[in-house]
Parts: sequence; C-alpha cells; structure tokens
Amino acid sequence: MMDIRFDSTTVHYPDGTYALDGVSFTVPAGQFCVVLGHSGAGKSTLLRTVNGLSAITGGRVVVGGKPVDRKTLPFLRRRIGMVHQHYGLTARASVATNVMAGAVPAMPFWRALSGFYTPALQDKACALIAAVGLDEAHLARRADRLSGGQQQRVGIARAFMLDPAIILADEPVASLDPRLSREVLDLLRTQARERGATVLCSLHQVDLARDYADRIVALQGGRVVFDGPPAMFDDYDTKRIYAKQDASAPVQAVLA
Amino acid sequence: MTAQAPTRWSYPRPYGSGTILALIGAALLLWYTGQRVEIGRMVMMTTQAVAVQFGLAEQSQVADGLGNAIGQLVPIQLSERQEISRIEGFDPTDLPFLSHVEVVERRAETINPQTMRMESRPVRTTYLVQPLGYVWLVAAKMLETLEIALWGTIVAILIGFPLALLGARNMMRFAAIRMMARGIIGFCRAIPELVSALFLVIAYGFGPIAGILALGLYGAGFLGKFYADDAENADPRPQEALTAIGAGKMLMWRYAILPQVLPQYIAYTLYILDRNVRMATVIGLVGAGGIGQELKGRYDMYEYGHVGTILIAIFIVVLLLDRSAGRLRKSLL
Repeated sequence: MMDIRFDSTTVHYPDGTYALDGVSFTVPAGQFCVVLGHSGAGKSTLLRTVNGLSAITGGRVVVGGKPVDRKTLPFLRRRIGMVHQHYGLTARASVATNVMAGAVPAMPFWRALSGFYTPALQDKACALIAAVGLDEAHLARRADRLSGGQQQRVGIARAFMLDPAIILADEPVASLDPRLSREVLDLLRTQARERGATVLCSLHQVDLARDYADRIVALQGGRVVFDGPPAMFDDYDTKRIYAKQDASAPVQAVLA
Repeated sequence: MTAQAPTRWSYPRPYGSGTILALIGAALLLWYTGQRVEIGRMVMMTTQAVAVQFGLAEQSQVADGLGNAIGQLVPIQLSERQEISRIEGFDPTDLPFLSHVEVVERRAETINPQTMRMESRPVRTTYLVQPLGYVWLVAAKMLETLEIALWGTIVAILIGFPLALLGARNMMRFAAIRMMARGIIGFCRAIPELVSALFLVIAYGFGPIAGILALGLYGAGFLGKFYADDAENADPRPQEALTAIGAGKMLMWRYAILPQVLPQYIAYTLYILDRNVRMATVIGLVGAGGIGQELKGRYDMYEYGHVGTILIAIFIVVLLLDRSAGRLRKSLL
C-alpha cells in the first residue's frame, strides 16, 4: 500500500508555459482518485511525474514516503503500473507477450530476453487475462488484431503483472465508446480494489468521473481548482472547468 | 445546379518557371557530361554493331570484339586431364570415380646424341581423364563462394547489430556514442567490398578470410544503418510503457521494438545474403577466395573454355538464389 503526495509540484517548460503550477494534494493508499480537466490542463503531466516520465522542475512528488528522483525511480517504477491512453501495446506481439512484458523488469534477465518464463508467472498472466475478460484463444493473437476495448483490457492485465501498489491510468477510456468505457473502468476499479492498489486516473468525462471516483481532483491551467468527493462536484464546477477556458487558447480563437 | 467558385480563384499551375529553368539546366549539364564520357561514340558503335547483324553495315569493332570473346568461351571445359607422372602416389588399380586412363601417342622431335641429327620418335604420355572433373572443381569453388557469402552475412549481423543499438536514438542516450556508432556504420558502407578486399588480402593473405571480412564489413554498414533507422521509427508508445515500469533499454528493445521491426530486419538480412552471394563471386577476382579467384586465374592463363564453365555456373547459382530468396522472404514474412 502506497500513498502519493504532491507537494507544490511544478513542471514548466523552457518556453515559459506551466504544465503544472504548484499542485499540492495527497492520494491516500487504496483510493480511486480521478483527475479531471480539459485537454492541456496538465492531467497527463501530473500522472507522469509520479513515475518519472515527466521531470518536475519544482516542488516534489513523494510516493510511499520516498521522493521521486533518479535514485528511487528504479525501485518505484516496479511498484507503479500504468495504463495508457493509446494502450501502449506492441502491435505485432501476441497478447501473451504483451501481458508478460509487464513483468520483465522483475525477472532474471536471461528469462526476459529468451522468453522462457517460469510456470508461476505464466499462471499469473493467464489468471490476469481471464480476470480482464479474455480467454485462452486470445493468448496467441496479435495485439493489433483485437478491438479497442480488448486492447485496453490487455493493457490493464499488463499493468497488474507486478502487483503494483499504485496504478496510473492516463485517459484509459479516451478512445473507447461510452459502453466500453464503463466496462473498462469497472474492470480497473474492481481489480484495484481486490489488490489494494491506489489509482490515479485521468479522465475528461465528468459523468464517468462522478460514477467511478472516490474523489475528484480537477485541474485547470496546471492548478487544482476542485478537490473533493464526487457528490460535491456539481454542474457549476463542470462549467467552471470546461466552459471558461483561457481566452488565449487556440481552440477558442478558432471557434470565435 | 452548376458548381461556381465564389470569385475567380487562381488555380495552382502544375509547374512553374523555376521547374522549367531547372530542367533546362539539367539538360545542359547532361549534354556537357555526355560529351565527357563519350555517349555519342557509345551510341554510334552500338548502332553499328546492331546494323551488322542485319547486314546494313560492313564491319563493327564491337561486334567483332564480342564475337571473339564469346567464341573463345565455347566449347566450355567440362573434363579435367592430368598427366599421371605428375600425380603423386598414383594407383592405377584405384581410379577416382567416373574416370579413366588415356594414353596419347605423339611424335617428338629430339636430337639423337650419337648421330647429332633430328629424329622423330613416338612418345607416349598417360593421362588420367575425369570427364566431369572440372565441373566438380567449379562446384566445389561455388560451394566455397556460398560459404563465404553466408559467413560474410553472419559477420555483418554480428558487427552491424550492436552498432545499430548504439546508433539508434531511442536506444542510446548519449549523442557522442551515437555519432561514433553512426560514423563507423557510414564508414563501413562507404567502402565497396572490392576495395576493402584488396587491402584485406594484403593483411590476411589470399583466401576466403579476406572475402568474408570484406563482405561482413560492408554488410555491417548496411544492416547497421537500416536496423538503427527502423528501431528509431518504431511506435514509441509501447517503448514508453516498458520504460514506465522500469524496464532497461535491452528489455525495452526486446519487448517493444523487436516485435515491430522483425519482418523488416529479416528482409534486410536476406537482401544482404542475396547480395553477398553475387558479390562473393566478384571479390574473388582480387584473390579473396571462391569462384572469382578461379575465374581470374583461368582468365589470366587464357583458358577461356574454363572461364565459360565458371560463368555458366555463376549464372545458374544467381538464378536459383533469386528464386529461392524470394520464396524464403515470402514464407518468413
């Protein structure tokens, strides 16, 4: 069980724009926390600071009591699973290989390289693939031959291979239709519950966030503009986040 | 209702005056270089040679030259004759397979030491004749050529693959090492096999080693470049997924890059194998082993019948290889 603490976390780019501007909040262990916001609000960047894919330029991120830095990253990354917006599967590799890829950092190098996995790991992969609703026939199928929903299921199975204490889900349902989105989020939530994983999930759909989150953190322009239980997140907040964007944003300019 | 543009728009022209100027410039350049390499003479001589065939011209230097050269290649040499006295430990009761002994009698003019006069005396020479002896020799040399090509390809992979990993942006973080690896790759590709074979023959002596290394170095340059380029162009999303969970570069390559690029890697490697077989026949000319070395030796001794046999053998092998390589590629991809 690990918690995540953002402590004035700041990411700014050399051109002067801020992706994150002093974000501070704590996700307690085991919570399903949804980060809401429109495109470019800093959701992805926030998630990526947790496993070091985006480097922070100010403040800090503390995961399970350890600050994220070069020294702790190798250890932390193995404890943090990630579900990606575009699934991040290797297209030509089989479902079996893609799921097993989630466990390669923790197995002996020669096993990872040669592909001779221990029976225990094979059983674990099969159990996870079954848990996400796929069956044995899918094992040998190429990842890019699956539907979008199935691909994200494989992505989720892969994320759980190392029994992560934390799952980062970066817009996991952005490319899926509403029905599949609910199926995938259901899956993510139940799997995380069963395994006691803390989830930090970014979404842009308010209705999904309300239904699945234990807590909603809304970002706008790299700042936290709402933090509370889903019940407190009302239409006023929705309007505040989505309708009133910065007037200088290019989308606004085109629509006006 | 007819479609009407709101105002008169100027529709883009297919080419502008710049293109036409560039074309005129290119034509002038070609005219100038054509003069320098005697394109006019080439066309004239070739036309003349064709005209001779149809009886439209009396004589052609090209037709005569080609006719002479080809005429000397036939009849091709199939058999091998060896004087028995020159074969060490020859055993007449145990002849090699499919061979026979032939006795040739001819008259030799010698001086009789007693009379000090020229005399004509019969001289008998015994030959061991192997009717397909030379064909076997060419086949053995051809096998050596194929072996050189195969090992040249293996050396190319062994050198090219690590260089590709060091030279690919997503595999190697340090720009200095990448530049160095890319530099070596470019250098290997810049030297033709024939040239590097010349120097390698000096270093390693005549024989297949020089050939294997010459083919291997060029192949390493080619494979290194294409392996690295493909790794760089592979979909970055699975690579990031592997990085996110703490996998090192090698495992990232194995799980996120290799499955994506494997078909192209196989195609490039097969191309190099195919190319190496053709090049292995050529680099033998500078003494780097294989059939080319045999070809050069016979050519220098004016044994054009032997040369004919070798040329036909090369033709057959290249033809067979062309078909089998295509088939192999299809079944693997």
